[in-house]
Parts: sequence; C-alpha cells; structure tokens
Amino acid sequence: MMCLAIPGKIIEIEGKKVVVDYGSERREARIIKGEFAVGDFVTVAAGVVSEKVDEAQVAGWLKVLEND
Amino acid sequence: MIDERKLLCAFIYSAYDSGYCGLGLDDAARKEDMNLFKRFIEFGGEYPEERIRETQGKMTSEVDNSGIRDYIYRGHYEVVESRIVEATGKDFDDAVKEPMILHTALSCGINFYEVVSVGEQEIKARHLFSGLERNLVVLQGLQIPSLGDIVSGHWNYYLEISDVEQSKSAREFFERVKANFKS
Repeated sequence: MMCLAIPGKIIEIEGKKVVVDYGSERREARIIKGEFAVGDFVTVAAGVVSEKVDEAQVAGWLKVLEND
Repeated sequence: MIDERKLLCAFIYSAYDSGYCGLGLDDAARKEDMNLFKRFIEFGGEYPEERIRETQGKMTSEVDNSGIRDYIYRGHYEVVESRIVEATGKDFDDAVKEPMILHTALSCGINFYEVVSVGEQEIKARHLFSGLERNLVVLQGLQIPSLGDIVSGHWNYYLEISDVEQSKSAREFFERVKANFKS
C-alpha cells in the first residue's frame, strides 16, 4: 500500500503554474486552490499542488533527533 | 483495538488528508474517497468495499496477504522505504539525511504515542521514542483514548488504542532513521 508523496520546493510561480524542485528533478504542477509562495515545500498529486508541508513538524523532528 | 475495516479507512483517510497519497488521484477523486471512508468511520455507513478494492488494486495486494493490522504495523515500513528509494533514486539510509525525506519517512510510517491530554476532536500525545509532543486529530466514530493510553497515529491523525508490544517495528524503523540521519 502506498501513502507517500515526496515534498518538493516551489521555485517558480507564474499564475497558476508552478515549478517544483525535488532535488533530483523539476516538475511543473498547477494550483487549483490555496495560496502558495516560492520557497514553500508542497506535495503534488495528479499534477496539482495538494498540500503545504507543515514546516513546524519537520522542525520538531529535527530538534528531537539533533538533541538526542 | 477497533474493527480492522475502520482502521484501514482511517489509515488511508489520514494519508489522503495530509496530501501524501501517492496514487495520482485528482482532487475530486481524492475528496470523494475521503467522504466515503469518513462516512463509514463516523456513522457506520456502508463499507466502501469497491473503492477500497480499487485503491488496493492501485497499490499492492499486501493488505490481503498479511491482514490489515499486520500490514499497517509491520509491512508498511518496508513499503515506505521502497517508495523513498524509488522517488529519490538514493539508498534509503542516505535519503533520510535530507530533512524533508526524514519527515516524510517518519510521518508516513505509523507512530506510537502516550496520550497526555484529551480534547473533543483532538488529543495531545507524546511520541514514545522521541518524546516529541504533538496534536492528533480524532475522527468521530473511533474509540476515544484516555490519559496515559498508548495509541497509534498516522500523519496528523490518531488511529486506535494500542500497546507497546505492537510498536516493535515502529521502534526499529525510528531507530534506523535516526541513526542514519545523525551519521
């Protein structure tokens, strides 16, 4: 069972089109709804920007692991 | 522990709602599935067997082979690992050194928590292995946990009351990710 999409970073926005950088590759996606900005980490489903990654959660993991 | 079918629906729902389902569904299809799963969880509506079967068909037959609970609490960690390798083109142990991949790996695998406070629609819970505290959404229709209970969670959602015995694979996965992140 798969429940995983890797977050990428928005590096360009032009209207409803965005370019998402995954490190190893870049892909185009569309914004259907929501506010997104260059620098946001997002997941993409079916070519549509789906959700913004909660950076506080990422920071939480980093903090506990780095201090452990 | 809850009905396995409710657990499966909550497991998939939590992935869909967190935006991490990699099935390539468009927004409308994803929302439609979520409504079906939620109606079953919350109101005991009809089990969305056909949609679940379709979903499983797009994934793998692992749930059928191993049983839902066995899959979610054991086999899924291997799937997370293989998907990360596939998506990043790197070895898993290298890939998790990147913070976003670390976050994805740890959140996509099931986590275990001790409940520290209980609200109407969410709980605050302490991660068993890291001590990290976070809020988890409690879907209506699931068993309400009490203070001190050990529970499982997926992404931002509570799943069910569990026990430490069930968390063995989760601990091994967490320790592996942590060791590789710090190396």
